[in-house]
Amino acid sequence: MGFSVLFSNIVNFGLYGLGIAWVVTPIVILFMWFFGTRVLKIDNKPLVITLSTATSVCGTSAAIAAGAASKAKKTDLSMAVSISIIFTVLMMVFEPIIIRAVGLGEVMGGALIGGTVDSTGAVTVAGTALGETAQTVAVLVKSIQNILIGFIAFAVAIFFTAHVEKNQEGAAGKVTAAEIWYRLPKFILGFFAASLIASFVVLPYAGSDAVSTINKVLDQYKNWAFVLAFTSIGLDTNFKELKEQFQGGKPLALYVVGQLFNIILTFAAVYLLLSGKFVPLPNLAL
Amino acid sequence: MEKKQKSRISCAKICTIAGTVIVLGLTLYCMIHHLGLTDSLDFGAGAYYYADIPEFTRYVNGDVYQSETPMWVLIALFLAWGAVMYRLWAWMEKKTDRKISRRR
Repeated sequence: MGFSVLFSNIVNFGLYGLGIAWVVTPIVILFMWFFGTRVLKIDNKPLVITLSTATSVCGTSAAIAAGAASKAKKTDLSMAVSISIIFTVLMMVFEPIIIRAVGLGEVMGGALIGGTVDSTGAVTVAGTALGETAQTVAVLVKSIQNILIGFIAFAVAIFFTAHVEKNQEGAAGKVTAAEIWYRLPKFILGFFAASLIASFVVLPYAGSDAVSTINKVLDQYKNWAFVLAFTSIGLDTNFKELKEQFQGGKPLALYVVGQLFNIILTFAAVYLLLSGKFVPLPNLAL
Repeated sequence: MEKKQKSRISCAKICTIAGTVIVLGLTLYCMIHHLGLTDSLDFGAGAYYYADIPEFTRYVNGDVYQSETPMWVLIALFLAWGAVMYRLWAWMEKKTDRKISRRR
């Protein structure tokens, strides 16, 4: 998966993309963390962070990475993925309709879709529903958001090691680098290494066709690995436990409030950068 | 009373089993008949759950927009904003933990 997340995509939409995809995302995560742990008082912090990253980054893939980084239970992951997928379908269908009704335009509408719809495939479909320009802008924004998976999983792993687990164990003093290394889920390093090799070694020296060909082969393994992972999660999911995890609808409330906040904040960033009122509009070669 | 409760439980069990069988049957029917799939897109394994577009990278080949900002500036801004947000997160967590421990 790391090999398909090209860090060099950061230049794809310049400062516009960075402003929409990267400025908004961590603010949404922090907001959802605060809302989930302090307002809704959800004790299960791995569930809060898994759901937060699924909402603000890119759905299933981000949920899996953040879930593993925070050592979430399989039921937490099942719940976050289920909620994210259900709402992704709704947003994929209704967001383009609302954008068209409001008359937001293809560039702004596409950027809003790219920044708020969770899954990459759904972003492409929803963008296409608005038009070719909207599809391109939506995909550009989403491609930058996809870069965030590794970085956010890394930050989550360190945060949980240094703050959450430390507090749970009641350990005093500062957490040492050795302790962080011991507790850190090591898969993140492989993810990073694959992403950096693809972005800064294979892409500049062998070209995008080579990256595409390698990814085509790796995708088959990745998809089978995902199938087996999801089957295993399904086999290990206990609906009685899932019902307990639901805590009277608190995770659902967290997702809905977080997603609304995400839409409002992304709209503000899109309006600021792509309405043409504050900064010049980007020149897109379509 | 007990008999009524038992019959309710068995009714719920029968409904759950029937629901599961129907959902599984419909799922298998969809998969066998390739319903809802796009012929031109080969999703491979997991086509019915995984929503990534195959070969997504070819949609973002960098030809659409030429950024005037150098890559190192974008990377520096990316890392700086990430570091600021991480510090803010850690600060928020420490502050709220202190509040909780004071209350105790």
